[in-house]
Amino acid sequence: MKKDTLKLSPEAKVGLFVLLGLIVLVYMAFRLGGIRFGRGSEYTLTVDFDSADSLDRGASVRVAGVEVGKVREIDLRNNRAHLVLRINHGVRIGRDFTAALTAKGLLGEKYLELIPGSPNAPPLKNGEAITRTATYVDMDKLMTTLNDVAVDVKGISESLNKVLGGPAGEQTIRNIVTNIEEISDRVNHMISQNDERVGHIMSNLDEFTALLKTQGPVITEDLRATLKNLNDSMAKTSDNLNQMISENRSGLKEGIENLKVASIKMQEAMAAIDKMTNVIGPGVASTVNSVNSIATKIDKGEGTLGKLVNDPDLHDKLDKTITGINDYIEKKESFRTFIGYRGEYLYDRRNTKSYFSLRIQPESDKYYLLEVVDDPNGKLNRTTTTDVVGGVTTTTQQTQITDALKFSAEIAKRIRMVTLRGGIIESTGGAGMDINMLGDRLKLSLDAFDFTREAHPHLKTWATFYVSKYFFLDAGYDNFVNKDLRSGFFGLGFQFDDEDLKYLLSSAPPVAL
Amino acid sequence: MIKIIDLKKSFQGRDVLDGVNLTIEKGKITVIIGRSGEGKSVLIKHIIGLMKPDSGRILIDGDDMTALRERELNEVRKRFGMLFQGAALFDSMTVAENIGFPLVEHTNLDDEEVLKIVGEKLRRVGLEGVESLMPAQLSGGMKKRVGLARAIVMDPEIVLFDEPTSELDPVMSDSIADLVLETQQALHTTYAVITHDITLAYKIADRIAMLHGGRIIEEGSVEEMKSNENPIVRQFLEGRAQGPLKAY
Amino acid sequence: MIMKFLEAVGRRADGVVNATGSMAIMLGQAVMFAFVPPVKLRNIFKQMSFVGVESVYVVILTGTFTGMVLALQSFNALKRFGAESLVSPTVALSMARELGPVLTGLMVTGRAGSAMATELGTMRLTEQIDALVTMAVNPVRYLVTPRVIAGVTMFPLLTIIADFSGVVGGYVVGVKFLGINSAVYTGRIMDFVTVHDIFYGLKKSLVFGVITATVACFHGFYAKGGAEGVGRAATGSVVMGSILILMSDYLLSSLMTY
Repeated sequence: MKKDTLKLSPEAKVGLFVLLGLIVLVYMAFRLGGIRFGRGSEYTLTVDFDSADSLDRGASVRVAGVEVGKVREIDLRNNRAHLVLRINHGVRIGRDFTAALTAKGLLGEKYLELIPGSPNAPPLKNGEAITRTATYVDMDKLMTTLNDVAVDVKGISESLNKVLGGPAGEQTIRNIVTNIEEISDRVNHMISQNDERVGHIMSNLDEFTALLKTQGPVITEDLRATLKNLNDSMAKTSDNLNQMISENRSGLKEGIENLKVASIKMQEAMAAIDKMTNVIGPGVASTVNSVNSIATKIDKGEGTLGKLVNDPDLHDKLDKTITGINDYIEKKESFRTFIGYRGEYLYDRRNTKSYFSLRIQPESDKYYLLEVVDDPNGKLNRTTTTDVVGGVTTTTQQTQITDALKFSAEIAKRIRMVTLRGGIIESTGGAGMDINMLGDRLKLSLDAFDFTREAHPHLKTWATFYVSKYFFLDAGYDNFVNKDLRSGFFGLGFQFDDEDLKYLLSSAPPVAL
Repeated sequence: MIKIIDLKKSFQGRDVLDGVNLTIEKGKITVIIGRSGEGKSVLIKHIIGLMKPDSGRILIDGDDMTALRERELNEVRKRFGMLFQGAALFDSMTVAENIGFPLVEHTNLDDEEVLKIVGEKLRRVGLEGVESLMPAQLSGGMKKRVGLARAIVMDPEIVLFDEPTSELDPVMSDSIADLVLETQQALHTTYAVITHDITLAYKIADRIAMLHGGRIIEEGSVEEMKSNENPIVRQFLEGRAQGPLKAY
Repeated sequence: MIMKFLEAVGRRADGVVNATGSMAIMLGQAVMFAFVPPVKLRNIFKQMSFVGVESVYVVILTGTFTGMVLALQSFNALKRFGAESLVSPTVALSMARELGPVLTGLMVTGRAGSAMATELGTMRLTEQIDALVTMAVNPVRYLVTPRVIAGVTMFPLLTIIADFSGVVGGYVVGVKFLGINSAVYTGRIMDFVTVHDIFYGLKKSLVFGVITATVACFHGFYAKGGAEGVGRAATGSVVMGSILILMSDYLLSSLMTY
């Protein structure tokens, strides 16, 4: 045909463009993960801390350094920080896990580490609390500890002072001296009364002295060694103490130094930002604005959602829904038959095309599709009449389009989100493809068939949205490469499987609960 | 029949129409003549409801155009066709789409039927095989013809012409005049033509009315106007620079 | 002297109020006609193609280079804190919430808005709009409604594309030129940017679409004074459209806290 059929019509261009835009949007939405289908894929836990320690909402929750969730909310409860955590589905947090506030590096962002306990502990369920908490040593903690040590040392020296100094101490020492005086008095008295014995003792003493004389050096040596040992250990201890103190001092110094450097850098940065602001001028105002709202957003986190998830009612409902979906999926495994109908209104041609379909699905990823199609544009008759009037020849080409019944028989195989179909489409050979998205609620389809026509093949693209399990809406563009036959369409339809039919056809359907 | 009663319109304090009284008879060609800037176009735009008068009435078969609401006005407009000075063809559409436009908008005819009628009307205005051309590819005379074809495509009862021969050479002007006559005689439609082309007026008019100073000063058949003694009419019809009308 | 000045101010204000009112009425009518059949899909698609499809290249270019420059500038600033990893959220958030919609709005106003104003202005001055009226076709329904619909539907789509190309542009500069780890680049975006940020920008772009289409149609529709008038209509539509976009951006930002 003419070349203009190859040129895309505005409708086709817009269609392509819209599709492109939506694909990009859906891609980004999925990557950013804000939209999740089936919200049951997460659960919440709570944990209380004495101090949230400048932890931010949205901070990550990690087990063994691997992110398993986020901090959803931080509230004050009984003067303690109450954290609500959102944990990814499938991550088991045991009852004896310990929650610890920690940070990535010195200035890094704060996060919550969950430290595993014994492997046999039962897992925490949705809404339960982690009871064990700890705080990791970081720079802040180190400072605090050092402070505590200093306080202890001070305490010891104070009590020593109390014991030795002051009037009480003096009294004690005086008592000791008095006691010694008494003892020497008694010794004197004993000696005067027992001269003889003293003589004996003296001779014994002599003997002892003689012994001492011979054995003396050995004993002295021993004594000296002992004393030296004592001395050494004392020195070592004091060294250790010294070292500890000096180390800490350099650490402290470094910390302060770091702070200084950071503040200088901060000043530089502010100056640079100032300069930038002046240069770029008002353009930055909007950026600042958005940065502001970013900050607000980060502050708020996903608060509303958090509340929603916290709502026990909603949980129950979600649980039920999930169970329902599970049941549904399980059912899907088995052999199923679907009966369906859909009608499409072709608005450029102002008529309606109907499809009755029977889908036999032996396995969840494979089905056979049989369709009867009532196509108002089914038959195309071209008649050419030539008139000769007064020597002028006029050729009229008439195109007649009539209604026709057609049949489709396709075999389809599903690979992940893509379903490939092939076989007979509307009584001619053809193939098609479906892309299932949003958990099978949205289906984008492209069919190509009727390659035998003198015109271009019949191409049809459309999107189907499942409003419920049974009903769907669709819209698309039919036969868009054939200029005289193309038309946009929209339509609706329904499908029931054998189970539904049994249910529908049973004589006394149970009243909805 | 169109009856214009005491029609007044002023723009920024200037009275352009100052009490126009005129009757345009059914099945006749009425030519309204007058100098440029005398408000001929303003008058014709009032007839089809493009402008609202300050006061006065326009009766189309007894219906007062000035009192109608937009929806009712549109119903009346469907009985009209209008050929604009510059033909006012839609630049973005082909000739066929231009002519078929009113049909597509107001009837349920399918594309083939529309094309058939378009071909018919084109033949009536003496053109053939130009359906797929764009307006920019047409000459001035062809544009006018296409404009006329569009004006009569709905088989209107009344057709208004705004300077049908402006910017055309005399030969082309004469052929357009013939065309106006032919189409009018074929259908006995009511035609109202505004022009300052005296040759055209003499050739096609059943009646001639002269607009001057915001009023119709003289009115009559071609013969009556030719023998009219009013010095203004005389000067205008004879095309003289000297006289009561000032050329400035 | 003072009286004259006051009169001038008064006339000016009167003009602004009049223009705003006429524009609002035109928009109101256009919206009404969008829901009252018959709706001509063909015209709408034509305008969508013109506003949307044909602006894609401009928007991709604008988005890409904006993303690139954002990456470069924020890298230099953030390097001082050793926070280079925050380049990608800066780019992505700025694009999604602010620059994507605003730059798309400004570029498309410049490209499509001026063309719309020129087209309608020409139609006005060659009596094509009058011709529509005489053929009992409402010109607002026929000319303005499709353009407003095209603006409302196409601006968000163009904004999505601008957002995406901005992030890609930032990726090229950040990862390929400045050596940020590519996993960090994408990962940090996911940490900081949510779908709400994108929708936040898309909501803005909806409004910008309405503004651009309405302003352009208004200027074209009421063009007068020959070829020069058409030129004035085009310039006026771009200037007014851009100003209104920036003003409404501030307003929307202050109203939509999230």
